[in-house]
Amino acid sequence: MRETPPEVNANGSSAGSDQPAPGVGPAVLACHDVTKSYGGVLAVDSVSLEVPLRGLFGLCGFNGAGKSTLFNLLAGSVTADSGSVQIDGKDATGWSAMRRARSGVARTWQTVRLAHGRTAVDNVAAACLQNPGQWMLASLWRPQAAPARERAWAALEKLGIGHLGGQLVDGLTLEAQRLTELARAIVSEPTVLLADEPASGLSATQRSVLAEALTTISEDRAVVVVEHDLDMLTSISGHMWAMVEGRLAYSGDVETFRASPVHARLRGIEQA
Amino acid sequence: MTEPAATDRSTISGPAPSGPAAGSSAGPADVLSGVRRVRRRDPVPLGAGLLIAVVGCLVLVVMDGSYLGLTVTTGVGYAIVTVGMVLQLGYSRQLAFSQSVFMGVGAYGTGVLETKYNFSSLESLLAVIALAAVAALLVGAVVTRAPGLALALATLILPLFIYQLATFSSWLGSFSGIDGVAPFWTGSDYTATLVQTGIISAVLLGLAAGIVLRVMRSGIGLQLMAMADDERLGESIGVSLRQRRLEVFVLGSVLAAVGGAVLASVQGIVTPDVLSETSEITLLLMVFVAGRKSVTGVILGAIVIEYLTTSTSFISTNLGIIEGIALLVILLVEPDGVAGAIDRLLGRRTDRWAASLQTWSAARLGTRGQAAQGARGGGNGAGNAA
Amino acid sequence: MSEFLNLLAAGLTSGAIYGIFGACLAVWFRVCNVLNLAVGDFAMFGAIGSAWLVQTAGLPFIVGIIVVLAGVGLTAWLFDWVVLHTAFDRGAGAHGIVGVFFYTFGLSLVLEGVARAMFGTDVYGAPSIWSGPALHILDFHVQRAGVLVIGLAIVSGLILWAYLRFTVSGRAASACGESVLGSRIVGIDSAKFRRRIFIMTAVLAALFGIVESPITGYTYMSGPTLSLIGVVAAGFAAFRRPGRAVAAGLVIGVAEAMLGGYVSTSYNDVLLYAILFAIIIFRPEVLGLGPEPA
Repeated sequence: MRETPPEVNANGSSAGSDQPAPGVGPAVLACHDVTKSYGGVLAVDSVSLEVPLRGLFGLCGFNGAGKSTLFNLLAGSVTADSGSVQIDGKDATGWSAMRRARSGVARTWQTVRLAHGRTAVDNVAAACLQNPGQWMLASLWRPQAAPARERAWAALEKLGIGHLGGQLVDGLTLEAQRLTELARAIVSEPTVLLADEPASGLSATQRSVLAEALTTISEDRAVVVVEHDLDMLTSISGHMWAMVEGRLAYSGDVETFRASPVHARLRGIEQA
Repeated sequence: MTEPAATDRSTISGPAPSGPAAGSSAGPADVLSGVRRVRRRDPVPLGAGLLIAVVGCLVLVVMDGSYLGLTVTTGVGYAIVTVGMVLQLGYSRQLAFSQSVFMGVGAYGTGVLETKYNFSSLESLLAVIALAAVAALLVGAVVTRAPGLALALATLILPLFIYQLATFSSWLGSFSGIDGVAPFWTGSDYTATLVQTGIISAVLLGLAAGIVLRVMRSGIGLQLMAMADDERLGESIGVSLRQRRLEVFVLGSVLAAVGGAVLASVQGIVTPDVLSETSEITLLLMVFVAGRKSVTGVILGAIVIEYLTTSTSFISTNLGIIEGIALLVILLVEPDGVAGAIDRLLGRRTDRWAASLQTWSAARLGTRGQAAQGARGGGNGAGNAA
Repeated sequence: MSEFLNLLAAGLTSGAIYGIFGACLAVWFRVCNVLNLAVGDFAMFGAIGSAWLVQTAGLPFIVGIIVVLAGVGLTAWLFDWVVLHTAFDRGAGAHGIVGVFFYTFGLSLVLEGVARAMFGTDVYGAPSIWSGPALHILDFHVQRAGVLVIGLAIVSGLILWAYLRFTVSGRAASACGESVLGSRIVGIDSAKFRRRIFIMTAVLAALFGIVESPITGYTYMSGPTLSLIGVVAAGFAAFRRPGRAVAAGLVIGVAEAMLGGYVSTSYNDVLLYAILFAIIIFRPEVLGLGPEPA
């Protein structure tokens, strides 16, 4: 069980030092000058960033800085007022959330969203059908449920909660629910995972378990994590973004981030 | 994950396991672990459908054309409609009040085709299914685009003007409707034709139940479960909301039409009452009181309520009051209806039975109880094939 | 021209009722997220109850009115205490979109059943409060009862508006609708408002029933249609603004009358409902309901 943060290597970042940097090479997910306002309040102000194919990227900022809105814009549940979103190089600005999900963009939510009254394995299996657009009539002779459940069990086991798969999600602890949500996000083998405050509500010990899970997941794909726990975030990320009042205020590696004024500001308020 | 065992699995725990499965020495822990807390859900779809059809046939043969048999067969007609409503209302939470309208489409369709165009029973049944499917696609394509509350409100209004259209149309027989609809099985002996019509109706019911259960247990059923209460969640995992909403609407409506066709054949007459709000109210009550998520529940509920409506005069005159109170009680006490209450009471017992069964079989099979048989098969609804 | 004005007068009369019902429904929906599908049945009880008490039980009219209004108020209070309180304040029972419709739907069924048991299936008309032949204003006829209806609608509408706008209590009620949690945090008891507005709606509906029934006969099944149009009128106000609900109700009433007069007396309701259906489906934004995710 981890009690101290992992070793810091020469670059100042512990994880993902070999991960590609944003802007260099192909991007699995990118946005250019996206803007979104709600009734006069500018939630996201001309933000541009690129998420490379692999690695763990941290996104931090105060509450209301626009992080969740940015995720919503990237995932497609909210339409941008202006700007564009690209997935794998293709213009995905007009794509629905469903289409983006099927193109490999997965996400978890700030407050856990699971289907009540159903087991964890069912919740996860719903996300990994071989053919999610199958006609309902066709399900009579090709139900797809068994292989989906197989994959669901595998994902749950990979995250260490295989023994909870058969339980109803309503009875699970918050930690187990968050891991279930994470399993649901990775089971469809997405190319990019957007994790919105996945550690919120968890204890320190639980956070390190989660951090490990996220690091493992990021070995094969891009993972962008929004978090308020800067210790945890900087210890696992290979690159940091910071948002202040809707704008992207910082984009760079972790060590420089730790020395930056943005970081001090975030810390300062934290300790206040 | 490189070393899952090394990190704190122990800190991730669900509620403590219950029943004799915990601490059993019979087999390896993970064989049984998936079985804890598993509810017995609906039985294997094809088997259930077959069972319903067979039981229905037996019951009707026993009743042998009596008045009770007629009532039960009419109940079967309503049951087909309510089975579709389990998928629509109970499972997918699509609040639409259009089932009575499609029931009318089925009933009037059968009536018109048989009396005016000399279709046979089978031909009119197939034609009605096709007609309802097309109508549901057209109506559904428009109606399911609207937000949930708008859909509910609009379909509340639908029976009002469809009913008036039917009563004003002389081609549809106005208030007296269409008479002389042939039963499914024609013959000179009234009793025999009634029984045989009943048998065919029971078979149709079994088919309907089988289809709905199959859909609910499939991968698409999982998608419906995910999007039912939280559409944003559904779309974030790749579910096409528009497609599913439309499909659920069409399937529910087609089943309603089949139910209407059965009613027409059993009663021999089609009147505008089948399209009225009272008709829709009756259907809603059958579904809510019996348990909107349970297929077997609504079948029994439909038959029982149909029986109560036509039988003892005390209940039928005061049916409105009784139904209203029953609905309120259900909503407050057990929103999943009588079936939900039974399921909850029995659920705890069946958990233990399932667990001890697994213990017993694991002990019998010894080392053959590997992961392949154990956690997976036990965890997915007590081993039912999807 | 006079025919047009006659139709207009008739339309405004029924429209006034739709509008006030819509306003009450909109306000109540704001406060507790439930649609009152029983409002028409309260009106029916007012109409039939008072008629029955006078004609069958032989009570003086004014006594009959008081008894009926008290009975309706008591029934509303009882329903809130037994059903709504348990459902919403105790957290038991079905919620979500089912709760929006089905609690009051159950009440509606019970009320209709009781009415049928007590009053049978006959058509009733309460005695007129202001009796006499129809009035002649300029070129057209207006039923005296119709004048009363519109008068009552104006008075109650103004009182409702003033209450919501100018009193502390009324503003608190509006706040409940905006945010249940927020209002609770600042000490506003939304359950209290839910109960009060429900009782007030019931009594007001019954009063309208009494006043209007000399023009239209009521049977035990007259309630649902009224409730439904009230809901639609509230819907066109996006379940938010009572004033707009009144306007919507008036438009619906006038449209109904005009369709009846100029197009067809038998098909006017069909057309009306078809139009409403089309609007709700094709333009849900009118109801303040946004497009669904696809």
